[in-house]
Amino acid sequence: MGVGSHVYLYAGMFVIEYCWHQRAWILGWRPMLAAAVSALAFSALCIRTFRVLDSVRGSSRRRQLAALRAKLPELR
Amino acid sequence: MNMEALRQMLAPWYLEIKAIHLTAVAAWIWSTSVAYVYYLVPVFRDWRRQPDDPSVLALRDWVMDRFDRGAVIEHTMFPIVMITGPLLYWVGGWDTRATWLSLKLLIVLGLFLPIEFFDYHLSHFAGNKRKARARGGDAEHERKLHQHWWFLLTTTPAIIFFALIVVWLACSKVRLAA
Repeated sequence: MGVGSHVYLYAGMFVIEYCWHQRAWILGWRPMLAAAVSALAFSALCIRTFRVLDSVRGSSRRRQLAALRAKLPELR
Repeated sequence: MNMEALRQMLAPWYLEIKAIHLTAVAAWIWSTSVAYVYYLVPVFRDWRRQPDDPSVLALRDWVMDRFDRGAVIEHTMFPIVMITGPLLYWVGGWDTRATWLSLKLLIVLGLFLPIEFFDYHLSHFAGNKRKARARGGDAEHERKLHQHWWFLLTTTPAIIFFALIVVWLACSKVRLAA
């Protein structure tokens, strides 16, 4: 997801900037580095999110279920 | 009235259109966040630990149904975003030479739009859990619920990450070209 989304965005910017407007800045090291760093950050966010949400192996595995009786309101 | 005359007529209202656009964007980004973090996630985590507990299943189904209903705010705001956004582009005389705008449009059209199409399907149309149960019983309900949960798991980080980038691009209007 992280790599794919950033490949798409970089390719899109390449088409717009280089192919359409003939501007070569998109081929520089800064845009590529920014895309790589952003892809890493996004991938790290995804991994962290899945780890937190994993109720079996993740950080939420220490939560306890409490038994309660409750009525759930229904919309008519 | 031709298009240029219409554009000239709307031009003095650029900031008002932007105010509507920003309000809709904020509502679109944040309206489901509390329900997701404080209701959906805790219930689904408990379901993963106790997948056959009837009371957990009942609460899970109720929370999911409420979430589907609450998504109507987000799904009303998104069309407003998609109408006012191009209106701002046209009335403001923007084009793809603005690099911040090009990147923003790539994110909106290539990432957010497909996500939202699927989201509409899951919350309101054939993927809606109530409709799934009416159509195919408990098996179809479970299938669509699993699908919706996986959809939320995979798209939530993308929405958070890229929505903040889009807001930053729109406010800073940073010149990406050297």
